[in-house]
Amino acid sequence: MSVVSAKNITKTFGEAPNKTIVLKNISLQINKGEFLSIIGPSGSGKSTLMYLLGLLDVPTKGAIYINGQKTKDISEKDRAKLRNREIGFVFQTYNLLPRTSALANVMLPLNYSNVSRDERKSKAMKLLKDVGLSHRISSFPSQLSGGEQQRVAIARSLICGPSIILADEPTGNLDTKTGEQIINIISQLNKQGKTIVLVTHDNNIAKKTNRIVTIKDGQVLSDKKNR
Amino acid sequence: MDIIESFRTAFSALLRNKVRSALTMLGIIIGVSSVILLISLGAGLQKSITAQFEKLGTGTLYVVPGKFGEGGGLAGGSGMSTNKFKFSDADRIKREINNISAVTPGIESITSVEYRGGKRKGVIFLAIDSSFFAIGDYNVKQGRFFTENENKNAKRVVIVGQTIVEKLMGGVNPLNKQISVRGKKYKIIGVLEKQGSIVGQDQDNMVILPAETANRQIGFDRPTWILVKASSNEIIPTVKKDIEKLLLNRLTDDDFTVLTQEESLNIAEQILGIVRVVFVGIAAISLVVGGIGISNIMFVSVTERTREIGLRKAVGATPGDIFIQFLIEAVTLSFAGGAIGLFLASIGTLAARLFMPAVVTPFAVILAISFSVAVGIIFGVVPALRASKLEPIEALRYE
Repeated sequence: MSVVSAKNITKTFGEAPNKTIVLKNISLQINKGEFLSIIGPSGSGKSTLMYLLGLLDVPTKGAIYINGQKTKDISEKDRAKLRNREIGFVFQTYNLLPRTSALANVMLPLNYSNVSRDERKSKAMKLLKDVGLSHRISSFPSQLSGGEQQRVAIARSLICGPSIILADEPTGNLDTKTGEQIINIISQLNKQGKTIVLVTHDNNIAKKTNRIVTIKDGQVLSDKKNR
Repeated sequence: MDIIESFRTAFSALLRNKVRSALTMLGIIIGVSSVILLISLGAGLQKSITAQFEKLGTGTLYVVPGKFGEGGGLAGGSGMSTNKFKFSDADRIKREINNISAVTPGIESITSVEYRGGKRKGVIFLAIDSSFFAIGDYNVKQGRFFTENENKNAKRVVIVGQTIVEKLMGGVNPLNKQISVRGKKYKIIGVLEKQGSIVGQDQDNMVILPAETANRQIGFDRPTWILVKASSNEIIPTVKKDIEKLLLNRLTDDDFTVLTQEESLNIAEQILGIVRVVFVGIAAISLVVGGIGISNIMFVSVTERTREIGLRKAVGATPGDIFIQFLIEAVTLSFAGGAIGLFLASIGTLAARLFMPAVVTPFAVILAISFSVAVGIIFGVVPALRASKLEPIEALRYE
């Protein structure tokens, strides 16, 4: 069964005559447990596709389904709740709250669901331990290296137990070695059963995933099983 | 999002910009502290004015120079320059008006008093008829009041207040001592009981002379006012009309006013009312300015934290969560301003107690808190709405 699927989605920005078509009639099914990469040159629309799959944006045409539920025409409030419960984001620029401890950053998504503070804290501690940062729980992002910040962000994406993790160029701001460590953590998560979508322009990273979807000019160029 | 977490977030956001938060609160601090000061001082002022009138007992009518009250309003006022009273007016009232128990002319002034080379300035000078003591609630602690005869014969006797004894005379037994008032010596025959101060004026820093003595020895030939005590409260309107009729024989309508105690209180409250309106105006303006300051800083904050808002939305904050977060931040700012304002006003009130009775009433506290919270809500809504309506994807991409 598909965790997230896109049916005939089109995304355009602006109004005619300045209308830009970013995605053209794309359909995509992501099944439970998959480790999928979306690859394409910059401007191909891969990030836009990821944000649409993550309900951060609304398609101009077509619809996104989360666990079989159609998300067209639902309120922003319900979309926020779906994001909170079902989707974990990892960004290229980490997007941690500044002057906020690693622990508080990881706890943040749970602030928006009905979980007691004690439970929030213990869950966040465990996840920070899992990504090897139990010694840095009270550090601020500015005191952490890029790799450490991205590991905090990964812990944050996991805290609500989402159905899918969407990672947008997670290694884009990191050196090769640190980037590999991050990819290792992510593929480890996949081995534990997490469904993961990785957006990248780097073929070497894409090769480490099980399915590669290539996007070009807003259309799916190829969709191949890897390994 | 749970509300405790919202407050935690708001506090840390405000503490991150301490100077900015403090400056933003300034308007609210000024507004709230002036509202509270106004209420507590106003209450004190009213209390002491009422006390002053009550000291003269009920059933008292005041005949004052000039046109006052209804029609004339406060304009026209009184004062020595327009004063056309004569001592004979008081005598005529005494002789010709029925249903009155006492009448006294009074002269009020400020003078300096000397005792054995020592000099005290700014002493309240009061000259009255002996029947004044039958009207007012004044008692002697030592000695006695002067008699009708002493007044009639313009004897050089004086009654002094506690401050004169303590500060000028160094605490010696004052009875039968001579003090100089306006260059002439008077014998002290009585000392007033301690009266405290009214509206910052020490009521014990006073000398009381017989009116006739003031007239002949000093040349005060015009009473500042005439007090009339009606024999019962019910008769007051009749007595008032009779006095007016009598005085109109000699004076014009513009030269005098007969005020009942109630009317005098009304005039005092009218003056207080004007002071109050001015203060409320100042307070309202500073609250609005403070509110605009909060609005402004909240807009800045929303812009600065666009990416934070985007991230919060990405991880599950609903528009309502974001709205509440920023509204709480605005209310926290204004509430803190209100609390500081309350604190400053309390200190101010304590300081004012040196001069007059003033208390921070629970009403003032509730008012201050609800005012400041209301300002926070009113001026925080628009920035909070703007934050809540940001598109998550736009906000995340904001540089």
